Amino acid sequence: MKLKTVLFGKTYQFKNVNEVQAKASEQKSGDQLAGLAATSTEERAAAKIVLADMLLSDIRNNPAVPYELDDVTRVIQDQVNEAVYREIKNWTVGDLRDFMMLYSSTGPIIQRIATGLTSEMIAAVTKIMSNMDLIYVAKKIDNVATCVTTIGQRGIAANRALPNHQTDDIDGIFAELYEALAYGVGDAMLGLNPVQDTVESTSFLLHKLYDFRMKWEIPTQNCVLSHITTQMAALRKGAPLDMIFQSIAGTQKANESFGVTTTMLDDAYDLGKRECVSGGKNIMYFETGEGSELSADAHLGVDMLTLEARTYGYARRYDPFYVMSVVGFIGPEYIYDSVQQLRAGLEEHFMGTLSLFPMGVDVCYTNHMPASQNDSENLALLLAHAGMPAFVTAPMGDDIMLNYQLLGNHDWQTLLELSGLKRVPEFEKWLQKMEILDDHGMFTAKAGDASIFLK
Amino acid sequence: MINEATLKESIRDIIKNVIQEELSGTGAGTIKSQSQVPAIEHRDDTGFVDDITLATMKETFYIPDPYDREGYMKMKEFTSGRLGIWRAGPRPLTKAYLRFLADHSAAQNAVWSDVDAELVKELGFIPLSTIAVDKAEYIKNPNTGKKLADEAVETVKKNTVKNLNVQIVFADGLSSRAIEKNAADFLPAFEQGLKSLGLSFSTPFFVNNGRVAIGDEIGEITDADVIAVFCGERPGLNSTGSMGAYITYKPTMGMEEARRTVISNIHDQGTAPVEAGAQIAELCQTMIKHKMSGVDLKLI
Repeated sequence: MKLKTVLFGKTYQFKNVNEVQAKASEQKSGDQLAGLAATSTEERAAAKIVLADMLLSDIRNNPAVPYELDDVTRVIQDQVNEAVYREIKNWTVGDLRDFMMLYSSTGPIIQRIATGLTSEMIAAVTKIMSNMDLIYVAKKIDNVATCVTTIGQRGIAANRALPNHQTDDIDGIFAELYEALAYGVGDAMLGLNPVQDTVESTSFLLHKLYDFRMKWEIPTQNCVLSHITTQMAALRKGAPLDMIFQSIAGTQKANESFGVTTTMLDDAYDLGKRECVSGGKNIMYFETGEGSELSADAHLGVDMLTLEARTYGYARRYDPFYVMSVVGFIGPEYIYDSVQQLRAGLEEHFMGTLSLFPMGVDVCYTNHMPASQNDSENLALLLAHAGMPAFVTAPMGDDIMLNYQLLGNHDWQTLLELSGLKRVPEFEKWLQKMEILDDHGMFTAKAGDASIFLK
Repeated sequence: MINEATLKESIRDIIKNVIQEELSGTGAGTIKSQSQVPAIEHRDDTGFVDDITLATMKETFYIPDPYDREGYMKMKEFTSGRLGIWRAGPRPLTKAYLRFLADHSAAQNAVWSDVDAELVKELGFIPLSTIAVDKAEYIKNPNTGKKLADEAVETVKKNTVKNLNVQIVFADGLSSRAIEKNAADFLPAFEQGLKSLGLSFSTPFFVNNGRVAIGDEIGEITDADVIAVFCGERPGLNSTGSMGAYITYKPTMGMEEARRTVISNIHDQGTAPVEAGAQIAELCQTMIKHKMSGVDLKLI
């Protein structure tokens, strides 16, 4: 394995695979904060050159965190399809990039190759791809999953309604839900982040959401994003869950800081397959974010993008309905500004797609980040172009509980019109029945009037 | 013969009608009677464009012809979310868009500006700086806001009062506006509260580019019983000037966060600054009595 190169007469020597990976990463404040980032653009270029020349077997044999020490590594290594891996193990990372670009490398062909990849390989190839490269390859691949409804098909994009409320006030939550539906939002899920993490409160909210879905016959799925242990307890007590949510990260130590172990996730998955009322084959939902390992002091000297890829590799164990990264939510100390946000969003969508489940990005920023709604709109347009299957929006993009800004409900219809993507078909039909959309999927005069749900 | 002026006027009328039909949701092409078109908003002659930030989100409602207006307004009482704001085509109306821009600009400004130096002087605070060279570094690397600059260490040493009960510290945190809006009301109430409980305190420090944990270093230097840090909280679109109180008994650098007692949301729409002053003075007394703070204190 070669760990050095010369660039314009200057030698660049790296210690190990992890250092090459970290220094080959695009500039992000989190890697700088951790002291892992390249110190110059030339050093970054040198690291990319060394990384592109590495064999996939070099990366397989040098996981970011040792196999013996970390169960995220074990999950990723143990789920590799060895037959496919043997075909490609002597490819360089550069070979993998070129292969994915070929006209002959269709979505299904890339999906097959992806079963032979570890997450570290996916992170590596991402670092030698441009923004348009990432979009080009991601767009070839359709990862389809079913909870109550199905997402991820070619040409279909779904969106989550986010009815968060500062005190979990049920009237406030429903006001936000009606508003979302009136703008044609909610086919990915009606997904609430509760303030209170108790079994009683979670059960209450799940019952309310389920009754609402039944009463109005809405073809979608519900989720209340409390801690996984809370949801499991609610499920055991008979609460109607469509899927089970948890935030996860890319090291065992970081997951432990979230109060999560692999055994716990395995148990939840088993329970969900038996008890989730959706009856879907994909009943897990995960959220992730670059920087969560660093903020939990559990990054173990590994760069954020590699850890994020590992998080997706870990998620794959549970065939999730979809996974969503909250790209600009963790804070500017990890993703500093709109430039870093845009790059990270494209990288995350690509890496999740190569991890073989529907991958969504919450296009967002906090108020202490140098970013604006314009930047989010730019990224949303690019992600729609890349065929991203799952988005999330709130009224005018303002999450009043978590105090950050994401895409707005208005942006959803606009994005669909601009990209030519369609809603989940049965949800579109439902909106037509409600006279929110016309036969062509365009807004009627009633769209945007949430009081139609006060009937 | 139609002259140019008449022609211009009739074109203006047609355009106006199209726009108003679109805004009232009747769609393109349909002719609506004048009474169903929303009234053009009143324009006064004061020379001012209306202040769009006066109305709260709960009062803001732009749907021209809702199915259930009364029900909608009731619904809006339960949330500060931006509901009932209507659309032009699929896009937000100009006024909703501009309101968002105004609110976002205030939130960003709260983070990226410094507390007015004149105000710091007026309130008699002793200014301190951290090792953060500027706002950008402070935001990117939170650790730089948790360590005093060398000269600030000297300033703290010089101004340390021995055997003090409460050392007051203000820090901009993530909202300078929070300090500008609340410090002047809060401080007299807090000091009055401490006085009436017989607790000693001294001139407050003000830390520019300072995070909550800056109080730990100040605590180690001054050795006061309680360090009371009042810090700007991360702004949301609906609240840019919220102050948090982080009160700790004998803090030390690198200690667990669980040792802090936190009272957040101090601003005119949350816990009123004057009320918070009295409440926190009592909290200081309790901490000194039990010689602990944070989670430990809760367990008593």
